[in-house]
Amino acid sequence: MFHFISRHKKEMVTDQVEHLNQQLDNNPLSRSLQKNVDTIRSLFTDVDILVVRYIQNRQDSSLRYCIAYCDGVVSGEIINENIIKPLILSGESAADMKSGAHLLDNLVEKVLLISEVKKTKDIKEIVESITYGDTILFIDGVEEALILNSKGFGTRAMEEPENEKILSGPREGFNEVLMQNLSLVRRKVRTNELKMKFKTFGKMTRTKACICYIDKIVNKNLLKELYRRLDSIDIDAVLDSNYLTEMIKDSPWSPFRTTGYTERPDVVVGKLLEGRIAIFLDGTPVVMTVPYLFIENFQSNEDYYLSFFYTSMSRFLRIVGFLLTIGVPGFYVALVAFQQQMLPTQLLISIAGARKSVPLPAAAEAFIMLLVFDILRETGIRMPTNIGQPLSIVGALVIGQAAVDAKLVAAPMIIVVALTGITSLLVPKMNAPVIYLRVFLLILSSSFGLYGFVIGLSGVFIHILNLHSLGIPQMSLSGALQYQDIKDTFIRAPWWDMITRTKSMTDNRIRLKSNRGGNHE
Amino acid sequence: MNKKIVCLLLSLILLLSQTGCWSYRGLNEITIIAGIGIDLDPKTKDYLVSCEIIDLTSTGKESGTKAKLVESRGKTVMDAVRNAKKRLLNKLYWGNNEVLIFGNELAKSGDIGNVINWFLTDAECRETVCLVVSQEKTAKDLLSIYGLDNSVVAFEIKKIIADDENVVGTMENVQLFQAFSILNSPGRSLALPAFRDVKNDEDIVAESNGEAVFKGDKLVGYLPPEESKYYLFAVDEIHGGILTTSSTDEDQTDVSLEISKSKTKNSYSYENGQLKFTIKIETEVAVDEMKPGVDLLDEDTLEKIEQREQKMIEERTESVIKKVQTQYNSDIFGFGNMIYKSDVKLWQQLEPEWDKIFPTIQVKVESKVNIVNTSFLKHS
Repeated sequence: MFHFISRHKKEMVTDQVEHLNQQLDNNPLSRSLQKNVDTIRSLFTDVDILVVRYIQNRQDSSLRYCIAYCDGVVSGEIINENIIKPLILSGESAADMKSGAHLLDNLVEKVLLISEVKKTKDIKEIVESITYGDTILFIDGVEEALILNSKGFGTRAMEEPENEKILSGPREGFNEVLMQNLSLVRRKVRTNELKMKFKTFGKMTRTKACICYIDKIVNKNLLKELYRRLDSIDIDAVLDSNYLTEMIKDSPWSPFRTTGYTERPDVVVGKLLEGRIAIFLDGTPVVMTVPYLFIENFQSNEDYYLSFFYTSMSRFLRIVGFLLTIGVPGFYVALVAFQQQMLPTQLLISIAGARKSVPLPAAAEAFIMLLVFDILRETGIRMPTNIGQPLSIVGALVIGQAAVDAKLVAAPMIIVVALTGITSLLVPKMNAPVIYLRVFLLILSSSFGLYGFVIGLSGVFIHILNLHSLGIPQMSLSGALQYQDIKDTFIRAPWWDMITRTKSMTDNRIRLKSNRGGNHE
Repeated sequence: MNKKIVCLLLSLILLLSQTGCWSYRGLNEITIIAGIGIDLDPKTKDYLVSCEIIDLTSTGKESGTKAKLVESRGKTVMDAVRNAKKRLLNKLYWGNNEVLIFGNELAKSGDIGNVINWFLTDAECRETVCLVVSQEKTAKDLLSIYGLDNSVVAFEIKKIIADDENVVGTMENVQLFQAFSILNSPGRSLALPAFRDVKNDEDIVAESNGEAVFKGDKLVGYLPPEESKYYLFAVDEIHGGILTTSSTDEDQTDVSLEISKSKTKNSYSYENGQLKFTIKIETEVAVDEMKPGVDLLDEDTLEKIEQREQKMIEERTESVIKKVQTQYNSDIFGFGNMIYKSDVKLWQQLEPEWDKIFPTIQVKVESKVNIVNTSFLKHS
């Protein structure tokens, strides 16, 4: 039934989009300037930011042009100085320039002071360009139009991404403009092997995307698979890379990520050099990288910029943090409500003393406190920064201390929830799965004790082992595990020791010619 | 696909519902027992069960954990335990019980087998509970006092027993499951730690006092701490403790030796209807205390101390064994069990008469003491 509904919806969308395209195809360009302008005007009915301006050459009044652009996405200076001015003042006479396409070539070569010019007859292309900040130049008596690059829209400054703060390392971050983002990567990898292929997504938004990879390193099969999946996407709008992520995910119902995301150029370059493929999308600073191994949830770009002694420890802490944040509430409830024998006597007495006059059973208490914590966290993200302080006071004092003092909640539960919350911040890339897994394990623990907890945890691990990204297993525990493959997992090996790239991801494994760069041994 | 999911769900439901240990029981629905004392009323033959329970109203405050005593009586142990619920808000919870104390009367009447059985078969009790015999009139007398350090006396007793073998070396920590297996193994008798009340400063506190010797499941007598130490030597359970001796030939105790390691090997021979046991004890000790002026770098001095100590261990161990053989006639050393393990046929031959044979066994103790550390201070 659900299949039927979704198919039905899809057909409706397709119909609408095709309807839109047909409308465009029915309006071919003509030789008459007025007709062309009317076509554009009718296409942009009720779009008041469209500006249409007629221009006539001073020397030869038979040379008549018309430019059309959308106000706000163009640079007024370019249009004034580089388009209108040369067109009006040009000394070339109509006789010099006329005769079909020849006129267009002459305009491009001798008159217009624009770097990027394109001839077109396609009305669809004209619409796409005009909405993206280009200026369309129609010439009287010519069946073609010129697309002139006059983009000039306001962009955000390059800033360090808020949610990927680091202590040391490059601090630049992507912004919303595709070309600027690409330039940040381009600059870091000065080789022709870095390929950048454009692609457009979204029937409505026609969002530009760029698929980046390093030709000699990337696994060609994975690249082919990625293109196959991207080609099958049929969607009206793509506003963020998460749209694509969900469309090409291997297991669409799994809460775990199977694609990476970052706002940092250094991370993208690092991943490209390991053989991954990056997908840039216009209009979002978030860049998607595939394939995504499970261990990447625990990796941070900073791991590579700080001493490997320090970062190996942080890796370890993040993995422990993941286990704690999904396990602690369930484990606590299992021990306190089922297997009390597992607790050391003194601990049992302390917890029992704290729970003595608390109204709710431990399991209900755990559910409520987790819910309260999630509410607090969510408000913390969405609220304006200037009311942060009152919120933390309410959170810490009212819900923490006052609830314990009023004997509404047992103090150990506050500790458990606090531990859960703090450790979840260690693995920000897994914010979605941890919420569900935590509750999943808690439900099992509250009904079956430690037994349920262990079954649930086994289920989680089976699921994780079954995850794939672009068809390769996210977590490989096969017998063919190689020493070089785990050097960047639970620990971060020193750079001189990471000789190869991960096997499943690349066609070219050798990273270092000689692993001894300095005075080793 | 649907079939798979249904199968998975079915098997999960079956799996989960067929296992035990999953009834929800909140911590506020239980009364935590720290220690249990079991007595026998000599007149009515009722079991008297005294449970030391944790007083949760006082926990978490600065005063520390307090305990209370719950008493009940019944025809059987289970009956008595259930009767306790008549005066309790919550059910008794046995999972963290630390010690099980047998009253003197109960132990003498020969019922400990019963009680051990019940505690083992009950699902909630730990198999690792420490067993203790109260030398006071009843087990309750031991539980009703306050501990010196920890106000829950059961925890204190447990800790005293657990640390004893490494620090004092006067008793053997016998846990519930071990006691059960000793009771049920041929040619072996049970010895349990004994405790008594003593006056310390102003208060009465519990103190360990050697071993209680059982024959079958009947208490037959006690070994005081001075003797129980040599019992431990004989059964290879000594891991620490102090030996004292004299540095000169005069009869004056002025040397303390701390046992760091001790190994006992038993062997036996059976010739002409006579059983001979040889007990070889090898002990490594460190000099801990010494009269000033004795040259500890002198090998002769050390050797003399060693020899004097060896002689003492030999004599005292033999005398303890003699005492147990003649006075109690209870094979707490497991001599019979040794024969059973190495030569079943011989054991089958000896078993019916074992009570008569045991007192006649000749035991030879050979001791070897090595001083490995002399705590030598240089005199300037």
